[in-house]
Amino acid sequence: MLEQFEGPILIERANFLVKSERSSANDKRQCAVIAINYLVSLRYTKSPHWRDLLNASGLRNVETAEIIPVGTKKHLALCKAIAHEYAEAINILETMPNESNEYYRNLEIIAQLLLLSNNLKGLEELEYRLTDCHSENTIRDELEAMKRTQLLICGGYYLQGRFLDFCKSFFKFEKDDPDFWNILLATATNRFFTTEELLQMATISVVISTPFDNYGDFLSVENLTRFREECPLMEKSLKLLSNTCFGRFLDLWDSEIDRKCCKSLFLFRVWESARFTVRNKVYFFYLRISNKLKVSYLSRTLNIEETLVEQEVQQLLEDLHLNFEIDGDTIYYRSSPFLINVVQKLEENREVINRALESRILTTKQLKDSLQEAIIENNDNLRDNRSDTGPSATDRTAYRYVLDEEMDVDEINDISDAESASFLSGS
Amino acid sequence: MSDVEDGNGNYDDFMMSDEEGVDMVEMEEETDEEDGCFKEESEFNVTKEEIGTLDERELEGLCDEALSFMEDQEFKRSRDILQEVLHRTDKYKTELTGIVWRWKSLSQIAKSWLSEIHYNGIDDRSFQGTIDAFRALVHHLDGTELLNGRLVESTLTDLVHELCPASKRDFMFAVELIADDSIAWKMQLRLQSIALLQESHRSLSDEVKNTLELKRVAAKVWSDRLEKGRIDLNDIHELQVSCCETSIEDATSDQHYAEKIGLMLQCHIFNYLNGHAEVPGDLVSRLIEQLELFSSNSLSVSQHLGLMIQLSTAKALVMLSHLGRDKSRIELRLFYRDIRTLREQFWSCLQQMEEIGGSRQNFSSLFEQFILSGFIFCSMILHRRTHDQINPFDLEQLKIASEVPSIQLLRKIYHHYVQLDLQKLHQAIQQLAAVKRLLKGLIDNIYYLGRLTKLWEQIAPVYSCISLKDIQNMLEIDQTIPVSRDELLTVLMTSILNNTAKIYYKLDLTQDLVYFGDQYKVQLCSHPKKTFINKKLFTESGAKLSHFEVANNIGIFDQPCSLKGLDSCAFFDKIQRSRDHIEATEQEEDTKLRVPKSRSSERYEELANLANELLSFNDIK
Repeated sequence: MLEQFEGPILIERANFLVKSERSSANDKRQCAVIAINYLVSLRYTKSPHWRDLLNASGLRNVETAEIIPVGTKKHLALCKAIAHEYAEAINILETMPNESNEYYRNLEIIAQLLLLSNNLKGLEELEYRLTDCHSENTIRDELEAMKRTQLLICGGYYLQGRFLDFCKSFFKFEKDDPDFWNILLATATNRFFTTEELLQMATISVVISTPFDNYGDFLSVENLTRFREECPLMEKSLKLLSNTCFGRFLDLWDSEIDRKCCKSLFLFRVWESARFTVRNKVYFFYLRISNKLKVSYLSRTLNIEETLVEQEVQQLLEDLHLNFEIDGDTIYYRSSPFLINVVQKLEENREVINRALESRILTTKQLKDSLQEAIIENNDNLRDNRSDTGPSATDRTAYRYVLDEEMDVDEINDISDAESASFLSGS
Repeated sequence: MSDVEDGNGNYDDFMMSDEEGVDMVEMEEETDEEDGCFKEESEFNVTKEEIGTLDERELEGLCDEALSFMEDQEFKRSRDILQEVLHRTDKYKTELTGIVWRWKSLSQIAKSWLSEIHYNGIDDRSFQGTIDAFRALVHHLDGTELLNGRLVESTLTDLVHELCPASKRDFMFAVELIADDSIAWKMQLRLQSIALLQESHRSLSDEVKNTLELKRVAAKVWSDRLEKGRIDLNDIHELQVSCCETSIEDATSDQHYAEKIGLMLQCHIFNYLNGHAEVPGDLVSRLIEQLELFSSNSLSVSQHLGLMIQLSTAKALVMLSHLGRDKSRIELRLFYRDIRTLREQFWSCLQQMEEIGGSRQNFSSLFEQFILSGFIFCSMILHRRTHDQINPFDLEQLKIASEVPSIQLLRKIYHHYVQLDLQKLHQAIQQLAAVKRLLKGLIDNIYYLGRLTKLWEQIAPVYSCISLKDIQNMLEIDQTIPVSRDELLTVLMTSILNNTAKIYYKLDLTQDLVYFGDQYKVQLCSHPKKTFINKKLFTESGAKLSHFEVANNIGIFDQPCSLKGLDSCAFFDKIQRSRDHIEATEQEEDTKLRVPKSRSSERYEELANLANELLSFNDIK
């Protein structure tokens, strides 16, 4: 199962398969043995995965060799890559005397190392160098290396989750280069991405980046007959999608395609987010055509667990600010949503205003009370004083003033009450 | 293959194989068998002197007399005279001249029987007479080694040609068209006569053997078809293999190639029409390919009406079988293109049927009904597609027979379809007993399209809210073919996907309601597109994805746009452009929806915040 590979990619793939939950114990052991044997034959075993691989292989008494054996610069770079010292490995390759008849083959290795070290931005920059020494008399090996590098760069887009960019460069390559299929289908031993992985990437990217309404259009794109032939799974997926057989599509997606992706070091990296995106795409389609629907209905039709549907739809609504709400089992469209966000703020403001009003009312009431007390007191005093002397003119005016005051305060009270009531009902 | 061609073919063969030259050419020019005999005999002038007793002049006279009787259709008398020739040569059985004369007269007797059958029809007497004549001929042939090989072969070829005349009107799949109902008997005769010839010990050239074998297979197939109503494809297996493998150069030099390939096609067409077998698509496609290549090289083949009908019919059958297989109707453009091609095939059959005159213009045979119904059904499917569509019943070929019941029925079907009266449509189609099964693929599509059109033209514009159940009932064609809820939903959903939904709709999947109308067009996302740019989302695996890209992948901002007819690069470029397209969509939003909701929501929020701040500030104070 690792026959196609050699060098660092062999070790990484072996390690992936050994750690994968999907591989059988027997497969794991075989992969580990292959990797260990390779490292031993290289006489350099300082891979970070060495211990894990050794354990999985069940081999005993294997001697480790941690000093890089003397060899060419290329060999040195290879060993560095196995030790995950990618930057150094790339540096060695970059500083090698630039022999023009190996330019692209070096570039290809650099691209591979960038992919292994997950330096995808760096990989993208290689694209500018692809046209560097391209000339009429470039030898065949060099040309092929250049084209393989082009595929590696495509793969880089995929690994960044830039599915549309992948499609653009992949299909441009397919259309422009008559050699495309030879390169893609080549069965050479030093593969980096396998044919199947690349076709799988293309399938996933097409499904994700093509709008729902255009799957049918894609199926009838005329210059892709070859692609559809080579990649029947893509055709099957798109047909199911364009006929809105979402349940069956997701079954396919979760069985056959899932199996392929989980076996592959590279596909696995973005597989979860791809799956998530596609599920969201389907959820969104349902939201697009309905006012109201049920989580349980979605779960039943799409054959996805109810809790997962609910959680994912909730997240979708939040992440993408969709005008839908989940209430128990029901997902419904929320009308005039543009004020909803403001409502909470307005609510707070109402609170503040009410609080302010209440405190005012309280103060006024206190004032009123104290006034009334004062009046009563004053009356008492008057009664006491009447026997002595009659109320003076100034006292009388003061009394009237107080009464006026009292009237006003009542008025204020009435008005503000009415106002706050209307505010309440207004909300 | 016509008589003339056959003759020419033989002539050429003679020319090529002929060493002696002159006398042979003369023989062929006069095209009369017995002339050939006399010339042939003249080779043996030397022996004549030795025998002396055989008066060849007398024999020649007798033969001439026999021939003239044959021409006058006095077959009995001509045979009597030929018997006389036999009688006179009885004593010279072992001598070459005698042997030749006997051969001549025996073959003439056979020929006279065949002519009699040709003119007077077959009966027990002529059947037995012919068989006896062939038996006697073979007996004579096996009794001597002395007969000249070329003479034997040319006689036999001629006789076989007489026995199995080519006809461009007899299709085994449309045998009802042949007025002569004695054809089964004739096939028996052919079979038995050829069997006699093939039993002969005489070794013949490959060419004659192949001709005999081809005629035998043809007779066998025909006879099975007529007597058992069924063709065993094993009979034609070998021929079929060789037909498919023949290179175009070999085919052109094989004078029977057209006949062979026609026979194959007829067998497959017959089996399909009679429900014995599906069309073996790959095989028939291969045959079609061969025939097209072949006919493009030969004017006479391409003008051979019978063969061309078979070609068109076979093509239609292959297309029909594809229609049934691929249920995906989503590629509507391709679908209509296929139907258009299919209709062309049916149309060319119809036209050729008229030219060939085989039809009595009453469309009563299964084959005719099949072609006619196929043509009408294709026209129905295309009815709403092409606006300049003329009514197929106005076409001359159909108009001429407008009173014929099958045309009346089809006219009714067409009418119900146009009126979208699905139940009546179904009832009428049910009356097409046999054809209904043959054209199932087309009929299914008609039902589907009928429902689709009814939904968008008669239901959606009328109701603003209707339950799925009610639509299901309205679209029901027959109780036996109900529309399931899932089917209806699929129809609704795919209508959105392929942009055939004429009226905007929303579903309430909790109560199974559909709301039709533009007023249900709502804004799905509360934030404008541009706010998604520059935001990053983190996936579980830690990869950083642009929020904008995710939203685009999911299709939040998709404006339905057609990407038909683009190549792969233009396809993705256009997707990219529609993703990058921001300003205009939002402007559109402003004008179309009048309330710039997404923007105002932000403004309102700001305003509320401001008020809040002011209020709190006042509060503190």
